[in-house]
Amino acid sequence: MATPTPDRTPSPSDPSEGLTPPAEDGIAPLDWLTTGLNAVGTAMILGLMVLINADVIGRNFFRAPVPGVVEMVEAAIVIIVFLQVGHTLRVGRFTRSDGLFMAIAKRRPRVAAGMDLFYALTGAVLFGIIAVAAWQRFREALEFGYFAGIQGAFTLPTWPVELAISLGSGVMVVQFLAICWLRVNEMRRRTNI
Amino acid sequence: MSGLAIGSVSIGLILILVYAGMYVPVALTLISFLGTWFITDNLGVAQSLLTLKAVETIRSQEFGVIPLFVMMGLLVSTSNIAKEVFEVANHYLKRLMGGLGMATVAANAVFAAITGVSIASAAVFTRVAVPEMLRFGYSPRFATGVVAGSSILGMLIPPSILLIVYAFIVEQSVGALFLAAIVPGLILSVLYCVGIYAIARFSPATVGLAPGGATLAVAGGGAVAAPMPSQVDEDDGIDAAAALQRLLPIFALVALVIGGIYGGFFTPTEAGAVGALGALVLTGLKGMLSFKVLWKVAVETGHITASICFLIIAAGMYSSMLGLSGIPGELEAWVRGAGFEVWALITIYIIIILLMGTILDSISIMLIVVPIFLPLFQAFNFDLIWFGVVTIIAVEIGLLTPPLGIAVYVIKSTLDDDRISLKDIFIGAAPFALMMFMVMLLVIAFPGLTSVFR
Repeated sequence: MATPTPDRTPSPSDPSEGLTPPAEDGIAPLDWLTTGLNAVGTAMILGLMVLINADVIGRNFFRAPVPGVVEMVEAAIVIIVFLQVGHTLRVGRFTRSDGLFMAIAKRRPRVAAGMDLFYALTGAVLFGIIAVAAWQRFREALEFGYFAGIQGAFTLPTWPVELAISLGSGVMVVQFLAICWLRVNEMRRRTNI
Repeated sequence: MSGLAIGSVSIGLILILVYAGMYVPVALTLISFLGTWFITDNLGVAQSLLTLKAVETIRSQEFGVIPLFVMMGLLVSTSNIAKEVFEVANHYLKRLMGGLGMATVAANAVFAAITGVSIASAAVFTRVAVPEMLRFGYSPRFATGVVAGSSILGMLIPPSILLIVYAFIVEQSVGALFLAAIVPGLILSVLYCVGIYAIARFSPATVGLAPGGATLAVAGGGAVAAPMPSQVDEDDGIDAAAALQRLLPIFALVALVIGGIYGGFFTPTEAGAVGALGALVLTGLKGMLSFKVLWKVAVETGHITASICFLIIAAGMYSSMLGLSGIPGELEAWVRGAGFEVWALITIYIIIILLMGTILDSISIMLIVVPIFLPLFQAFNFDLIWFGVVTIIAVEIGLLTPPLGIAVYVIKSTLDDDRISLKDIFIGAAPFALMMFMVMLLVIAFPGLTSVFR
């Protein structure tokens, strides 16, 4: 099961081919959305670095730690990951091992398109479950005012985190469906030829 | 259906799906979801497991360590720091046989202390060191093999993304793992240099020396050789002051990060932030930083962070499903009943990892294998930090073994030279994979090697 066909010469020209599928035509509005969320997440990574350094310097040199850093980092890392993941999938960086898949794609493109359709559909369903549940958690957090931290010291509402999870998972659903759509078109095109 | 059966079927399905090209997190999530549904016979439980893990797994400030150390490594990779360190190392090692190869190892070890991703090291040193080695007559196989072998130091010498991911899977301290990996990483570097010297001795042609011809026989073992005159005589413009000027900022950065963790000044997350800022300043001072470069690095950081975190989330679901199936208890009972010795258990574990290493990437292997064995290790009272270092070395051997050795593929593509085939690089890397195996055995035999700094 786990050995590639011996005659398969791995394509040496582009190893990214062995790691990630090539970027293909996207759907413009969706690409704007994922790129936009990516930019917010990217800015947050830089912010994270600044925030923690401010705390380290403030604490060690001025005896003035930044309050609530732990809570903020905790929230930021989740928000960053869920805002970035749609774009990560879009540009083919969502982890997969496609050595065998690419070999199939070369010989039987329709079969490969069908397989990818199945993978993307599965992804859409699973992320759909997460998106819906996270949305409920968001509504709850907003309604009851859930917070992280210690009251009186520093508190941070949790609804932005739940919202980011729901939003990010929702974008994953749409991005997976976009891949499905591209694959169906590909299969149809190949049948017509 | 027993837990053991459910466990084995689920692992089999995950391997098939992953190998057939399904996204690794999706495959792990799908099987965990279906497995939980099957075990509990309750769709609701499966749904809440899925959601809870997605929402809660990474909600801890410790996970901030991932983007910060990734960014630190990427920033340093955009500068010419690797090249500078390589030139200094070469200046001092070029009189030795195979000196350029040793310089590559030394520079990689230094570079590894600022970056946590082997792939980055492989790409950078293919550009920096391979052309130099070829210029002085090293065989292409040997030159690329040295780079492939030494690039894995990036994942062993802290900071290392693999160590971080392992720490999260087994819920151990990232800082402790970092400190534990230092000595094994240094031992491997030294062994590489010894190995390079031995290869140069036995087959001078591989390092550009005509057999018997250019080599000077020197009293006392012949440690000094005369390589192609051009290399030794060539004025590289490096004196002690220049070397110090080049190395000092880098060593300062390493000392700040590792020393900060060791001295208890920083948590690993803070060390990551300080290191990233330090790398930013370092590249800035070298005049190689623009906002465009910084943004590109940060976007790349985001992609890597998101994909790693989703692997960890999916592995969390998978661990929970395995726990529900009762496989850990059954496996332990079975192992004890069969009267397995500890060494047999370790051997089986290593063999499984090495086999999977031929087809899967490092992080995926750990995510699939470690959760199954973890309860056993705990039952046998293993030191999980020590065993983490063993695991990382075993997993890393997979980066060098065909058919899918990622490090080798990266070198091949960076090289873009049709005269050097993938097969050449795999053959060149083989001695280094063997040396890694030896160091792994050494660490297994002497666990104390991992507790020097702890």
